[in-house]
Amino acid sequence: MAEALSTLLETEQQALRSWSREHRALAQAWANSPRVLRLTRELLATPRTRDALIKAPVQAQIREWLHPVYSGKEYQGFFIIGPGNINLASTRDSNLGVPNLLIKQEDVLERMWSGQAALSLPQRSDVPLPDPNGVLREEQPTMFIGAPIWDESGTVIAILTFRINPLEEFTAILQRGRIGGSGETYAFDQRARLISESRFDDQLRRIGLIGPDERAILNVAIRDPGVNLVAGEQSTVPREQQPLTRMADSALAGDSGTDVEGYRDYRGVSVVGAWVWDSELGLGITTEIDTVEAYESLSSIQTVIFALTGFSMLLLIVVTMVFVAGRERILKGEQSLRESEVKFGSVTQSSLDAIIAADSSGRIISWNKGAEATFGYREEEVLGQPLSLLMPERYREAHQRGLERLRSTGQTRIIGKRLELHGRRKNGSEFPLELLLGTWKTHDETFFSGFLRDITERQQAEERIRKLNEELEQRVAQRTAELEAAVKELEAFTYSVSHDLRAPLRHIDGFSKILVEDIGSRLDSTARHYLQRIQEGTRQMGTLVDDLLNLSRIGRQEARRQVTGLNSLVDEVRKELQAETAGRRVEWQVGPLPFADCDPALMKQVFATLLSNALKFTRPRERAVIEVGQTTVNGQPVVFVRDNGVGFSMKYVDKLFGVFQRLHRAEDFEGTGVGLATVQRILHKHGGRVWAEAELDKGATFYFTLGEAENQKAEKPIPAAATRGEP
Amino acid sequence: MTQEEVHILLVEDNPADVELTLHTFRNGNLRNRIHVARDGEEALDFLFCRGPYSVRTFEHAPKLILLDLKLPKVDGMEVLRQVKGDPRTKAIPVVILTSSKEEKDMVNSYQLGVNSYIQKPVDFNQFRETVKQLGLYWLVVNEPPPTNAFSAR
Repeated sequence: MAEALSTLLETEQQALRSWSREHRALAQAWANSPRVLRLTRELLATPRTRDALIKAPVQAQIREWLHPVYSGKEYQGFFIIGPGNINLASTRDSNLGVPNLLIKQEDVLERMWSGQAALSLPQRSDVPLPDPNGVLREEQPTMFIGAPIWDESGTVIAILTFRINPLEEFTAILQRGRIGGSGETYAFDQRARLISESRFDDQLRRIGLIGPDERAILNVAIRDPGVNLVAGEQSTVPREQQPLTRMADSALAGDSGTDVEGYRDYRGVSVVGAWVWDSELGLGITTEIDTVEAYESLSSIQTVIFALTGFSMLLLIVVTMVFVAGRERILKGEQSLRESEVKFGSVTQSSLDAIIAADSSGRIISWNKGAEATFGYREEEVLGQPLSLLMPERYREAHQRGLERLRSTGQTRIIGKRLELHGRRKNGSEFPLELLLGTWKTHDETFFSGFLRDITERQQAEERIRKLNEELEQRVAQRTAELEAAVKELEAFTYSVSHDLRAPLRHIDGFSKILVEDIGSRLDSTARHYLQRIQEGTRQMGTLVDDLLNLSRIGRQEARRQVTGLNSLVDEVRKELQAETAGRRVEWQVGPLPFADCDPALMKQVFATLLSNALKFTRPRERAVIEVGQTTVNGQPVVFVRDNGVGFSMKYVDKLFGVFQRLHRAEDFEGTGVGLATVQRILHKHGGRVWAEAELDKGATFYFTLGEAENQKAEKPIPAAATRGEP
Repeated sequence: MTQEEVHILLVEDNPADVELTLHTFRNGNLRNRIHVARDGEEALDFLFCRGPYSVRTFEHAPKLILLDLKLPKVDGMEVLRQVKGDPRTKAIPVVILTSSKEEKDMVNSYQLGVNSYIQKPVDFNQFRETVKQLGLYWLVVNEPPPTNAFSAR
């Protein structure tokens, strides 16, 4: 009995693990796609307000790109979660710019930030979701699978999660562990809360454990009422003060175990059961059956074990151990066969997967319909035949050795592992298959059971996906290279143009000055005025050319980063600007600024431009107030420069950082319109960004960040060196 | 002009620049001591006393070379390389006077042994001041190399 329960439980556990692994791999595959990385970068550059995120074109792009994933049956939606666990992208607008629901399971988010794909436990949804009848309801159970999005430097920049409906696969897997009329397999969390569906919802409603519209999932604690509630007895102890059931108590202590003596379950009904705490999944699983029924229906447990292998949605085949019996006509080991207690049920026969059993000498003793479809042999053709019949020649020797080793030592290397091999059909053709082997011992004989599936189509699909991805990456790489070349060319052009412009300028300036000096006295005032205009023009164009040269130089040169105190840069710049403040009342309010990993020469240019702009645009003010400081925007450190100058209308904010874009008239404020473009280029070079807020005639504030990746490194724990659990 | 009189070799292809540079020297007696080479090849012929300048001798080298980088035929960097690479000419002070302030050019020039690197200012007053100071420094303040610094050893 205990063995049968443990076997069923183990099977369930393996099934859940496989399922979790499969989804984690899938989530990671999507998170790794270059497209997702690129779109995520754009998202990270978008201000983290709901409005901005909704309006950003990248929002629609990422929804479209991920649509095939979340429009299927498995996933109900997706999230891209940025620093501070804020949702940057999601299926629903209402989710954007707010913390992700998973902050209720912070350890899961932390695991993802530290670089692992992870599956959450079911929890109550924050948005209405369809219930099993398709009706939208509040607080439906929901769960998430997620994976980190890495950048090229190996930093996790965001997280991609998909919403999974726990009432689908998760529940389905556990429901397959229902035995007879009262057996059930369920999962619970660390607080002993039921996190899968109960088969006793109706009973639980009747005895008042859940409300008339409620489901047991997420609503029932695995506590022992001390009396049998189903039999109409009433507990005097409030639910929350009741002790955990024997099973839950042991499982939450991290133990696994079985109890075939009988103990009270969460309904107070006497059950026998097996349980395990699975630290990889972060949940407990148990299989329980009413004691009364248990000893009547031992065989039904084993039937269920076979049924478990029929999952159509699992890509993995579940290993299980098989009792083989009832086929005395087939084989020699009649005695041991009789000793085993189970018959292959009709479920086994109807499974789509091939289920084959063999005796210790490797002769086939059971053959289901799935095996027939897979290999092309009919049952009567293979029974009693060696298993090697089903293998290509090259596997046969190893198979023989394995059998011998098992016979002599009882040891085998492949039991319980998922193998990818090749099979040989009746017509001699080969095909790839996935195989899971189990063994079962009776008193004097070992039997094997194999669950296998033809994975030709899957391999082809994988190959197609791999090729598509390869092509996609190639195309992206090519485009990137083209773009980089174009940008380089443009910058070289800018450089040589501005370089060559300097010579004629020098000549215009030179000769007009010589003109004034040599024959100035003979010219009238109008002529002198025009000459002055010419000189002003050349001077202005000279500045423009110099600024452009500088801009293109920054584009071409690498940032030479070193840890720099931003306050000292501000101090230097202020000294250099002293000439401009002469005769003015300027109040500087410089707060503490961080040390940053940046190119000090380039960062100095940033401050020089921002501070001299601030001085320039406060010129009409009797008292200029210029503030430099640090603040936090959406959980990110941001440096700002604020002034009380003439400001500008936010209508034109888009133009602010464009080359040659000016928002003021030249006679009011001089300038070339290159300064802020240069600032932006410098900050982009550092992986940061710059933006501005202003009000006409009230002043302006410029904000910038430096290299988000750097900040994150400091905040996030170093990924764990090793992970526990199965490979 | 006899060869003894050349104090400055101005290597400059742009006639406007030549004129402006010469203008800055108009008030001194230097103007007549400036020889202009209009491309790199002419500059090399002049300095290595060959072709039309075969009558010149290395002992009568100019006291200063003002060298532009962008030149027809042979560019300024090559002129610099040859001048600084030959024991008969390497002692002549060379000042690069160019529009370029590209780091690559500056690094190369200094590695080839240039004595000074100056970007031509757009503002004519600054330009004039710069060139004047250059002439003053190299021709008046600075002690020129002794004659036997120009011999092949």
